[in-house]
Amino acid sequence: MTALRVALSRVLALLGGGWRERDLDEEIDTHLALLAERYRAQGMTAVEARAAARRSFGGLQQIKEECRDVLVVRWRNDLVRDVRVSFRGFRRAPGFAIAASATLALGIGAATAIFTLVNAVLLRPLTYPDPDRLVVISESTRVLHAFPANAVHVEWWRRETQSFDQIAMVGEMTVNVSGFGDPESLPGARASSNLFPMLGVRMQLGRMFTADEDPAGRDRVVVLDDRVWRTRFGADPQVVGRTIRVDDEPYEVNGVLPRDFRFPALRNLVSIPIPSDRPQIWKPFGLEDAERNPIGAFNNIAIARLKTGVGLPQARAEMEAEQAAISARLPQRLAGGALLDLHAVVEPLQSQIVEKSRAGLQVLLAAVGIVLVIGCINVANLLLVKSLGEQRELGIRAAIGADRWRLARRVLTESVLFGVLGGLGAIGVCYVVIRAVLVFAPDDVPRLDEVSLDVSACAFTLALSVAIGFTVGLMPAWRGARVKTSDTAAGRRPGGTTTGPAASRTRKWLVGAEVGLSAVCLVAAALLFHSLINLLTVEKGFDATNMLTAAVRLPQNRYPTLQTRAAFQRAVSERLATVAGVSSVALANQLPLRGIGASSALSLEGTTIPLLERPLAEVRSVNPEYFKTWGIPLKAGRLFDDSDRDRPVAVVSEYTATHAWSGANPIGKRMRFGGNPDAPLFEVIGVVADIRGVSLDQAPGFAAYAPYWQRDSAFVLLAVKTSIDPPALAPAVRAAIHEIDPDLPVSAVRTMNDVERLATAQRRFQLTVVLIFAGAAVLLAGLGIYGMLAYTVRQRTNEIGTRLALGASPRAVRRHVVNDALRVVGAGLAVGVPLALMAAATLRALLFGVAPYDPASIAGVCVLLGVTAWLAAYIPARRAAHIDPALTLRCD
Amino acid sequence: MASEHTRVELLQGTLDLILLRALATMGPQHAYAIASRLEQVADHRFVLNQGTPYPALVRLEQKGWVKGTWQKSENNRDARYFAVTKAGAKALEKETARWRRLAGLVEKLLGDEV
Repeated sequence: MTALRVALSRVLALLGGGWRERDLDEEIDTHLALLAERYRAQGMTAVEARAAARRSFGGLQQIKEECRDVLVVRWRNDLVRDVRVSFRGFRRAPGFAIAASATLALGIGAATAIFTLVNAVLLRPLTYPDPDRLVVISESTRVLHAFPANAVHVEWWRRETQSFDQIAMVGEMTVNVSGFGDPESLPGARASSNLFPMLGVRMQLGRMFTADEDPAGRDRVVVLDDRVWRTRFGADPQVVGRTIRVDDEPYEVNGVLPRDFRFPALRNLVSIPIPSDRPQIWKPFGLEDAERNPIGAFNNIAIARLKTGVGLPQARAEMEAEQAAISARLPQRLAGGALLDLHAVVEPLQSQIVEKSRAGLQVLLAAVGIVLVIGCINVANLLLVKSLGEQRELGIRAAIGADRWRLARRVLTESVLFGVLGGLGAIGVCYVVIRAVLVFAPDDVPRLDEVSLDVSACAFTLALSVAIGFTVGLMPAWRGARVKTSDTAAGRRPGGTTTGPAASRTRKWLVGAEVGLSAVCLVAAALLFHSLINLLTVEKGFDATNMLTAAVRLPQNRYPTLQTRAAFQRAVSERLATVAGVSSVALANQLPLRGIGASSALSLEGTTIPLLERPLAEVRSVNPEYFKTWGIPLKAGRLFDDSDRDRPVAVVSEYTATHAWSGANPIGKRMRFGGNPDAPLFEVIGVVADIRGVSLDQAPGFAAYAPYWQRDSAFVLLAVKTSIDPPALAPAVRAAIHEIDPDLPVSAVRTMNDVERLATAQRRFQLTVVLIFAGAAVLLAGLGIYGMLAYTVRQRTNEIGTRLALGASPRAVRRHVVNDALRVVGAGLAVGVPLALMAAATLRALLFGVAPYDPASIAGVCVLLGVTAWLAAYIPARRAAHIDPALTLRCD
Repeated sequence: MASEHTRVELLQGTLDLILLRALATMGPQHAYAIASRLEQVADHRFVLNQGTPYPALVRLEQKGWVKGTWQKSENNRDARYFAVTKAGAKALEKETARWRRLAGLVEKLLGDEV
């Protein structure tokens, strides 16, 4: 109780300190007057009496100080004075202040920026209500881990499971939209009517889908994403009720989604690489009867909400049981006569979305954390040096009676001030870094647009920098408080033989730590760099030079049958071949490196393997010139040509030939695509070389090619080999396509180089950022080494001068300094390299073609740090060698 | 001369206690009166400058054991009169008891043949 009262009184005094001080002064004046009166009464003169009064009062200033101390007014005055003194010091030695504040600003700013990023992408919960009850359900088998769900299975899950409130189904849909300007191809999605209510969506305009719009035929309505409403429809408030044409069918606009509604790109909801962007236009699911095949396509995403009280393990267990039941009821003849074995994978929605980005972001966070620590160590060293330089002054102050605590407080105030200045700078740096990331980051990082620098981030930055300022100031403050007045009095140079060794040992340890940490950063950067190089130079199996690509999607109503689609493809490939500058035309349902086009199980004729264990192949519908255009060599048999119009033929890759038929010659053998025993049998007529058709980091797997007139696709990806610079041909290519069909939107006209660049975008971005951080780490570590050596040389000027005077050669002195640096670096590496190896082991998922303990990378890092040490030592070594022994021996 | 050698430094906490006791006995007083009285009583046996009570008085006031009020003194000057509060009276009892215990213990330890 008393303590509380004291504290309260102190706080009040802090605020209204002036009032109390005046009180005190008045009282003391009165007291002195009374004393003087008494002495006068005893017979002294006025002057004598006043003097006697003063004397008998005791140390006036001291008493007043003591009282003020108790009143805590002193705290405030001291603080103000310390701040003012510090600022004066900054003005006198701006270089030092700038160095310390700038280091803190850069380190803290970058760290906060990256942390904000990681927070927005990985940590912050999704913006849907109750987001941790949302899950994604995928199907899986023993052979294939997690893949999208079958539509019929989802309906069965809805009916038969108890763990979920709702199960919604989402499918990918790219459509040609027209009726409001130029026709264009938009990424979209089809969703069951319960999706938006499940995600707590409140429409901005209009309404959501209703349950009776779900079935095919009643689903001629769409809902627009906010962005497309603003950019394509000019934010027209009357858009609801308008009719637009989607794939040339009339659809009515039902509503507009809210501005802050974020739905991830569908490729982030599945574990397999499908190409897709954020859906901009939605329609009801509209499941066609033809799609109701329980062993048909597995291409839907099931998002569900767990019932309250149901945990994830319970849901998983129920799904396992349900899948077992489904496996038992599926027609076994479809499965090739063997028992199906389906399982399920239930993952929380948030972790599914960010799964692919998690590792990369964690690397960034670690890297920036290392840079921050190194920066703090540098600032701590700077402050330590400064305090050592101030020992003399502090010693004098202590000798004339300064309170130790006061001395320490002054040093602390200064370092906290650095923290504040650094923090303000850090906010600016943070802003710049976030902007830069948003501009340069690849598109496929999910949730990146939710990143922003808000007030709490700024407050956090300031708080962090004040805390760091305080922490790095602790050591110098402690030293300041312990200064030995005896040293100063004896005139010994501060930091000489008495305080020298301990301080410089600390600094050596700190610099060694810096080197070790930067080694970790460098090794990570080196490994990532190596991986990227490997990736870019990997044998793709096809020739991507001088290729121009374009994409079209054939709408159902104008191209209703396989024949019409095939006719289009034939016409367009023939027309394109006549364009000047085009040497060859390829078309397929997907471009290489763009992910999966269409996968099917390969059902070899007479196979007894259960359906879901048959090899899953990437099947491409191509034209006969495809292989020649892409430079894929033929290995056996022949390619298909026009004479194969009437019978289903296919060409397989080498990998397929070896693995599907176990080494037997596949030519002449027949197979089906998929599990339907009534599907046509394709005869294998040729074997082509393997290519990395899906992505650069995936080794070639099962692949098959069928003619486009036998195997259907609504997506047509054109690629022309050009004899001149590809971009120059873009207008001609567009024109040629529009000659065949003027209303067909042509999208994604890019060169193959662009496609490759897109494919490696995320890696390149990651590498760039890590390289920047590694560079900063090395720079800071180099500065740290330089600082340490410069100081040591200055300290030991006498000793070096003596040595030179006694005959040591300047070269030996120089070598001694450099060796000092190398020793520290060596020690740092001795700890840092094992640390780096441990860290590198966690990077395994991000590496390509390089082991985490890659000796070349590690050796490179050691050499780089050695060179850095040598460079950092250069100037101090020169200075040491140039010490004039005569001068040093003369002055002390 | 003899008083020089036997002048004893006062411990901080004891000054507070002494002041409290003095105020309790003398009733509300201003600082000059307290200091002079203490000087008299102690008879120069311990170091006590006229200004010494001040920090202690501020401390006591912070703790709420005395309260200072501005009043007119005997010769019509404005002076702050410090009076012991109820809490102060209670604290005086407790602190006195504590001091007695402490003094007794030290005395005992010094006296025993250890």
